[in-house]
Amino acid sequence: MTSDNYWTRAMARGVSRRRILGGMGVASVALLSGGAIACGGDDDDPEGDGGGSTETTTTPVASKPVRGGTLIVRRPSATTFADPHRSSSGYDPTVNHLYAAPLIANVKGKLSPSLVESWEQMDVTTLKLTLRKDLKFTDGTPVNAAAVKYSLERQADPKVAAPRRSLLTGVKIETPDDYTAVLKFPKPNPVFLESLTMNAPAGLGALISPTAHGKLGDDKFNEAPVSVGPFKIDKLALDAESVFVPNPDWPLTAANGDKLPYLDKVIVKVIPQTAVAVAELQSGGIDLDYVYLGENVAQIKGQANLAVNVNKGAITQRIGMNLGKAPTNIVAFRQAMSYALDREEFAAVFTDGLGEGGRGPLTALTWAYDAAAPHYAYDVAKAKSLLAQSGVGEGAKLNICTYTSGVYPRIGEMIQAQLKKIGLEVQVDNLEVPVITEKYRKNGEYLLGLEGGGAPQGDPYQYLETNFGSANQPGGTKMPEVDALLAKALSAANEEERKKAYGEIVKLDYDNSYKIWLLESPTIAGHAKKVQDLAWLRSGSAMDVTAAWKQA
Amino acid sequence: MTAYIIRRILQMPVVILMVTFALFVIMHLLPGDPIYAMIGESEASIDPEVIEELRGELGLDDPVLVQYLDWASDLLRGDLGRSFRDRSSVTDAITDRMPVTLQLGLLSLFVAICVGVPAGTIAAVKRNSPIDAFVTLFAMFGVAVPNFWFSMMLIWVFVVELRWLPASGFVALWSDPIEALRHMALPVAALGLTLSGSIMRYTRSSVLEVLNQDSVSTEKAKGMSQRTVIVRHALRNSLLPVATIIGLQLGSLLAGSIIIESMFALPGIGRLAIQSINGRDYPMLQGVVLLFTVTVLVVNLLTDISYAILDPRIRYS
Repeated sequence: MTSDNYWTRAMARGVSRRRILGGMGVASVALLSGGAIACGGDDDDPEGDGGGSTETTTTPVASKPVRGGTLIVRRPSATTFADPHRSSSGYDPTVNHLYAAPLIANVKGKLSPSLVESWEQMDVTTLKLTLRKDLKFTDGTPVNAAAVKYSLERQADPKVAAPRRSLLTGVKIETPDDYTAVLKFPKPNPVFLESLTMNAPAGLGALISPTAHGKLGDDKFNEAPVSVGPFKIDKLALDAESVFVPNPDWPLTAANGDKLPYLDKVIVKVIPQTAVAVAELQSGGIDLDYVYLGENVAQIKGQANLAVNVNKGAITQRIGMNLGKAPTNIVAFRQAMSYALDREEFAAVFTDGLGEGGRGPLTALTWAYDAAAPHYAYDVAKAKSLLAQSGVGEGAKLNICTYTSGVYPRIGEMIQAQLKKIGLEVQVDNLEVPVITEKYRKNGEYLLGLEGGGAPQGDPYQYLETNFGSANQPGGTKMPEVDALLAKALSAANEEERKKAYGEIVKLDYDNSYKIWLLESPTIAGHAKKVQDLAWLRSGSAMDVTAAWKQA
Repeated sequence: MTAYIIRRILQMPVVILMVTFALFVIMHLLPGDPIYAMIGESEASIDPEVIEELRGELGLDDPVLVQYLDWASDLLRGDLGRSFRDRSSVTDAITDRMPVTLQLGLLSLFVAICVGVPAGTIAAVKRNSPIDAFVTLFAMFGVAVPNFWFSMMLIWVFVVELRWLPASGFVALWSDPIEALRHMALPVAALGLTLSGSIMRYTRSSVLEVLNQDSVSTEKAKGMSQRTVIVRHALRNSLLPVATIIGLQLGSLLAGSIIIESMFALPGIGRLAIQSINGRDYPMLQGVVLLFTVTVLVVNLLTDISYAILDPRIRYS
């Protein structure tokens, strides 16, 4: 709990010792084995913890990290908010490069210090956080308990619309001294610490300078944010190219004592078209891009200068349903659809073999996962039988909304084709995000909706709440049984009891087929082979470049 | 002439009001609440009171006509409002992106004219020759081929295969001219060469028409060289309709910039327009459309005026 170098923190994230050291001694082994090694994070991790889910193809690396160089990272759309509390983007390198999380967690939920040096659960509703004393915001003001209080209270304000503000409801924060913050919760909140390992939208981690925010106000702060992290802003152009340079005041070091980061510059470049980004990756115009659902993976794998880094099971793709409307309010009908979909075919077509058919809400990335939990297997005869039982005749008409981008329209078409085999007519509408939010989530105009998002890592409370809680159901359907189990999990005394409560939610989902779990797909980073020591962030959707370096 | 120009200028505000009001109504008819676009999909569970408060702050709870009149009255005070998406100033956002679109537009127009006018002239002079056939084919290609496809082909050849040029990003001409030209080469080629097709076709037919006139035959009979006849007489006289076409190409240029800026990751006004549509950012889109409308109106007026100046026979009443 007291170690504070990059080695331990990166290990906690599941980055292998081998990768951290840059493959000391590995180069020769790699050369003997044909020039390329599988250098996954599971090298030191037989349990598949963290890095075990990561599959990397890379080149032999130099024995020692090289300082300097520029890393160019692609982002597909403009960042709206560099203000981390207002960000609702799941993958935002701008926010993640600037704001270090107070804590680091590995996949099993084991926490390591970062900005927060130590923490103590004083009783079930009181948590004490002690900060490092050598941290400064990029405007030179100290990172202290007042900043923690300011940042958390700001995220609790409904007007800021911070995605995870519900975790701060009723929380009182005291600052007995400059570097200690005591949080008093109205009821036990065992998942709060987890939220400090990530920035918005998944967590509450980012700290902002109260001085700068007070002086600038919301809108100006978004244009010139003041952060604490390994990088600081050199140039901010949220819809073009933002340039980040090392923060000279960043105190955390690598295992060997090296000052971090190694890179001279990180550029986040907005390139809307995936095909153009892949061309840039191939030609060396950019160094790192994220590819979802296997798009262009084969093309990247075929390039001698490129590698792919696969974070397996990082995303779940599922079909949500309006549980308050016929016929999707009938359990047998939902189960019929669950049996009618061949998930392995979805995995084969849409993930280049890197994903798997969905088995349920939880994946192996969380400690709450139970491999023995029941799941639906492809069985057309059973689907037809359940359809008959449901009283919904063949030829019934359904509608599903999907996104306009990426492979989503094609996934919609495959759902349509597969459900046709049991006699269901599905109309597929490809819609923009605000239209889906309005028509599917709020108004319940669609019976089915394709949903996708990061799979839970560590404690799955927030993920299960988002998927099954009453507050988030399309059309406003109430889910009292799930709500009760979520409350039970929150008040559970230990991890084992929480796991049991989560297991009951998973079972409830299976029995009622609230959602159809289509795919466990990976997050995939395509990057130049000369870039070394990239590590997946806790959110699983982007990579941490703090310890990354480029071979000359 | 003066009366004509004044009348045209006075008509402009009416056209601007009609265009912006039509757009305002269309945007409001589109499905997709700007509030949800603003706060993101994950916020479907946001407190309804907060949503209503945000709606009130942005004026979205007023009737569309009232919202429009508010926008128009702010416009008269020189205020284009603030973006719904990130609360930045619309005027600043447009001003920041203007150099990108101007650089792309002017260079593309330059390339289109430099390619289109000479090629069209040569095709006319060498009528029915293989050169004419090639130029006509090229012109048809330019008119018919979609910008995005041509862009992808250019990227494949010059970025992926040859690795000569970058496929994305913007560098201002005044900051680093060489890098700026490298970054602009492909977008300008994609936009300029497709635009040159129309210019080529009009130049060819216009030069042909002039070459068939009696005055040209007389000049040839007087012993003037073909070069003098073509450059001094035929081309000069035929450029009048071509100038008009170049002016009218502005609409295509602006429409093309929307696609090209997205393809080549240029942070210009075209890409801002797409972002604004996707994000239901009404004030930003209104600002962009206003700029496009005023630009087209002004350029059309300048084209009409230049037409009268270049041809003294033309009189506007």
